[in-house]
Amino acid sequence: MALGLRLDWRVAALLGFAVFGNATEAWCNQSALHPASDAAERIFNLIVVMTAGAVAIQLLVIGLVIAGVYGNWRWRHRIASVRFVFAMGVIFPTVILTALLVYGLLLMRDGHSGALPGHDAAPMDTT
Amino acid sequence: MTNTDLLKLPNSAPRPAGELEALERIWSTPTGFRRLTAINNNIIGVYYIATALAFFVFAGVLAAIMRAQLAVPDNTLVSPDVYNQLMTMHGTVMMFLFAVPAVEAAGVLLLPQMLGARDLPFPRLSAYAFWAYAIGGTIFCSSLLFGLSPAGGWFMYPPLTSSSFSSGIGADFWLLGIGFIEISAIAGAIEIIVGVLRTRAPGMTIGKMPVFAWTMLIFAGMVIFAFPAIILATLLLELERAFGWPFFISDRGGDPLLWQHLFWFFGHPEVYVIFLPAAGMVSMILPSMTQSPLVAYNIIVVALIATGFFSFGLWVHHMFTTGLPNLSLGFFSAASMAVSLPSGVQVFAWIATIANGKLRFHTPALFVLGFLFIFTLGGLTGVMVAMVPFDWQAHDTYFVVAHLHYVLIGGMVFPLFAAIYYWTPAFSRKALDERLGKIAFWLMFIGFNLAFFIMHLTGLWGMPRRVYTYKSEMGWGLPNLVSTIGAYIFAAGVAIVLFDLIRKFRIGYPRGNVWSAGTLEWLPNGNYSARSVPIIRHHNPLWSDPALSRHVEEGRYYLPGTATGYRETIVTSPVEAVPQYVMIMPQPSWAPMIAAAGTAAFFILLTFKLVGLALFAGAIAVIAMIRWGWDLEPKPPFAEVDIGGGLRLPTYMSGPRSHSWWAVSILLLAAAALYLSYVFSYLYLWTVAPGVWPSAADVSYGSFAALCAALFIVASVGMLLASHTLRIAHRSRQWIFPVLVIGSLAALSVGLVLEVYGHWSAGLRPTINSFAALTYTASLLQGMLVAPALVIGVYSLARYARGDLDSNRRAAFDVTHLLFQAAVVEGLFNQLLVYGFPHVVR
Ligand code: HEM
Ligand SMILES: [Cu+2]
Repeated sequence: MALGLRLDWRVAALLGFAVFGNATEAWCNQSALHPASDAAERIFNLIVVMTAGAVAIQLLVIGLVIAGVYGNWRWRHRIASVRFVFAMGVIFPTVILTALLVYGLLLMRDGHSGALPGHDAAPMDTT
Repeated sequence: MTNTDLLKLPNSAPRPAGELEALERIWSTPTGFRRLTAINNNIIGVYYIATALAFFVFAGVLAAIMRAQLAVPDNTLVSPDVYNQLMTMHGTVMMFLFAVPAVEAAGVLLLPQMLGARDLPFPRLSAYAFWAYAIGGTIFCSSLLFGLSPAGGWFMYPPLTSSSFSSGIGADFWLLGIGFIEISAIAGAIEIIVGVLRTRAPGMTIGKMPVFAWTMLIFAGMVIFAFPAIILATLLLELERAFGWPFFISDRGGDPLLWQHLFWFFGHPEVYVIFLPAAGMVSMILPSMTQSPLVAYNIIVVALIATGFFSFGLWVHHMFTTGLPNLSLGFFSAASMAVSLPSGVQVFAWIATIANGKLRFHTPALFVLGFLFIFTLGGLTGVMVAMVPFDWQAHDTYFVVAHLHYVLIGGMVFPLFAAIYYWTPAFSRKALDERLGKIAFWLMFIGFNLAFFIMHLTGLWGMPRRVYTYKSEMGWGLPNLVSTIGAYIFAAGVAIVLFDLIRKFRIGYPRGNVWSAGTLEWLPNGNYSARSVPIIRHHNPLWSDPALSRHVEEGRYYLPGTATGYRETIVTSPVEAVPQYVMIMPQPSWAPMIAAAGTAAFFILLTFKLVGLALFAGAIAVIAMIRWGWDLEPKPPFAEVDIGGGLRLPTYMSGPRSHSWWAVSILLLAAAALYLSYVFSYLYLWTVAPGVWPSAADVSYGSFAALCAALFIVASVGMLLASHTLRIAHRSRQWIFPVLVIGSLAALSVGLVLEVYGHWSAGLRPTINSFAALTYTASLLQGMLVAPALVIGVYSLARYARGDLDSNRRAAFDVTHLLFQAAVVEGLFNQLLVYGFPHVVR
């Protein structure tokens, strides 16, 4: 399934590529969307997952605003409650963010085997 | 029912003839060029916001030049050095001269009206803070005309900004200018805290306070604790640049990362300092746009407080790529995500409020909706960069530029523009044009997203931030062109708003409650705010009591005129808002403005190393400040006055209940924060370079430590005795008090001088290593408390001689006393840290 997501992203990226046709070189140079190492590949997956999540949440918020303005009384009644605020504002993000954090921490652990920027870009001797 | 309600009103109508006229006369604004002496919040507040907007336009023009430069690849419109100056000035001016002052200004303008006070408690201090900012900021900006601007980016990291890599005067301009403007921000914050906690209308308990007042309170608290870190940082870097004290030079035991810690300990909270008041504005505007109360007031308040606390634990997320250990990365990553929770809660509470009523699509509502859209997206990309692995990729790319503008423009500029449309009729004779407003909104909304959305991709495609141009082979041409076009569309929207403001905004008898809002700033008001001060029982008093406006205007509530013949306001208790006393407030004066000009000149002249002239300007500032204090606290004509309903209040208060005591205590909290930042730096550099710390054997410079400590303690006791003698007020032995004060001041100063002499005579020089530099800094910081204690101490003695200081009216002495004891405590700590610590660790 992660693969499916990624393919979709590639399709979308290709679309963008068509629009910004002159972006050819960037693709082979230093684009984060064109991973060239294992570690970068793993981060690329993270980018895909997070982008999808961000888009979904953004759409959800827009949808709720529209429902709040134009929805029928049932919808509006449901939204205009402390329970809604608590569920959407506290419980929902806590669950999502915890999951994301675990994912990120796992990646950081893996990252250490590969050549990650954080790893070899610390030449500063601080003692 | 109406009858019993009427019976409960404290004052009867009609009011005696001449009462309103006397009130108007005492609060009238000086005319002609004496307008510059005005100190009233509705005048200063408007100047303040107008100045902030002027800086917004200035920094916006710089952005427009940058966008023109970046529109096409390989462009040569500006040189790399000019680009660096433009970028640094844009970021610096936007953050320090626009965003923070704009929200502070909104507080100065709105709070008194919203809380039912006549003015903020220290009007001359607001005037001083405003003039210091306006004059200092203008000079700072003009450096660009001479090509003398700083060019190290808005966070000015050393070693790039150290004297070896930025030898010009630009960095000094930044350090002294910004350090100075932060001091003015702290002055404003003290004013706001005392105002919110002590000048609310009777009955407006802390739980009934408008959300905007909550946000300003938290804003000010954060300024008090966060800004000292940057003041210390700028002080240290300037000492290093000017005198070679090595705090950030690793060869001599310094560490450039110390700057990053100090900067971001300030810089991260700064983001919330900017955002929270904007969120408060949204929480005020939405209820009135939907004509229904805010949903989940309590949850919102808890969220705001939580944001204030959490935001101090996140600074390291700006340093994910500096090679820190994974454990701390993980911790700060988690903390950064946690802080998005309270913001999320607020977003959903606003949506709930929209659903609760019927949204009317006036211009302010549009800007609020635009804010919800943009800010949510900025928050989501914020969560993305809080993920350490993602940040490894996105750090220092245009993705970050996109993110920060989504948060800042979405989170602050859109709410501010909503606020401008919303509150203009509360202060101006005319409201702004709705049709133009809507056009402006759409231009700004579309332009903004066009300009900045694509930057997420430009960044992921690898374009680094802070580059003056890029090669066409990189393929970033088209997205950059889109960004530039979007930026210009945005600018057109801003121009329309400014045009309409210039055309319509006139201070005077305000247009009034055009939105049918429910809070106090919409009461009919003049220079004196509301005619009489109502009793508050609800969150939206104008909705719960439709007759309130009329009764207030008829003078049926408290204090319908001037009770003492001076300007005055009611001071209430901090939680329950029970009236405690009537505070007499100062009249307009030139002193704040002259003091501000003197202070600004002092810092600017120091930049140019014109020390003599700088001292002269500083002396003028001090004299003006003394002049400004001199006619405060006139002898009240009555010890008690009746403000209505048989409520009699004293006209003077000293001790822990008084507003001046509160102000100094808050100032001392800021001083404590400054000192803690210093202790952090000391310990941090010790962990980095323990080798330059002396061993116990050669702590020979400690020879005077015990003597200094003893002197400090003697001084402290002397001052306590002085305080005591003032209380019992011996008529016959009037000389005891001045002798005690002078003796204590002398002991304190001698102790400090001896301390420095001790280091020097033992051969310790501040330039040799970070330990020595920190040792001298300790004395310097203590001196920063001792000097004002000396000045105010001498000033209190002068008041004593004039007969204006006695067992009752003793505020000037109490202020000195608080400062004095703080200086003693700091001195004792210094002995522990500088002499004791090396003994313990070696
Ligand atoms: C039309 C509005 C704006 C435009 C077109 C704009 C554009 C830009 C550009 C081109 C840069 C330089 C990017 C780089 O070279 O790395 C920049 C940086 C920045 N902008 Fe803006 N900006 C706008 C509004 C704002 C506002 C309202 C704020 C803050 C309240 C702000 C804060 C900053 C900061 C802090 C930086 C970083 C400077 C640095 O890297 O040191 N900008 N902006
Ligand atoms: Cu941050």
